[in-house]
Amino acid sequence: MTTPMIAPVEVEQPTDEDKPADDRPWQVIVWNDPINLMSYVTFVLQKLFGYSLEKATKLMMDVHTKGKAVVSSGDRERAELDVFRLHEHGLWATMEKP
Amino acid sequence: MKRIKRKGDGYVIKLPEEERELLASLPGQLVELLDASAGDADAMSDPAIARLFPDAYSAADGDLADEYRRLMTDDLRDRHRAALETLAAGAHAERVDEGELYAWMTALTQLRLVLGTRLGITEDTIPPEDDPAFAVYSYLSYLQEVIVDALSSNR
Repeated sequence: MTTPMIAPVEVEQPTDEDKPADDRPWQVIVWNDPINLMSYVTFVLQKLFGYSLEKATKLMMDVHTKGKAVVSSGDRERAELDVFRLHEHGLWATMEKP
Repeated sequence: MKRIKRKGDGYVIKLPEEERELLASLPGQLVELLDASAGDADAMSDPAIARLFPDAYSAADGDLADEYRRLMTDDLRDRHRAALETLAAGAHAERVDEGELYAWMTALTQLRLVLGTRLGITEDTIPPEDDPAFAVYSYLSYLQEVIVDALSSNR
């Protein structure tokens, strides 16, 4: 493989519109809220998704410092179930297609 | 002495009587609000109740969001109610099993969300001293930490 040295070749990048919509998984997002405790959010992410303490803590910190984190992804049914379980635990969660 | 400690298959609860009274009475107040919200389209205009029933879709006005809300709100209300009733029923127990303590934890979350929303809690809130509502909120936060710690402890 070589890299074109002179003029960059115009390559048409595939866009999301080119794919059937169903190919893209739904993402489940947890949003920051001022009430839920950091220890609680970490514990719930471990319990619901089987994440390690390290992974759950990183996601919790992303929620806390960046305002949100993607905690799971999958087909619509799976994502709706995850959102429901997060709501059952009082976390502010939504799902969307990226 | 830890207030909630794992022992065998369950957890030993050592809480003062006045705290148990609070835990026995608070959940019923929220259950009443939840029951009143059933079938009441205006209930979600109360931010504290709405906080327990977030939109499931980031694009909150779509058909999928409406369908989800129509299908799932009653189920979610039932889950919230079940956890709150488990807390109220066990508030005077000396011992609870893991499932019960887990329900206490989620019930405390519902109570903290409603109370915290009513109090306008933000990341920067410094609870005023001598305010009874903030004192309850702070106590529920403390107990939540104790329970998460107990549920996280190894057998």
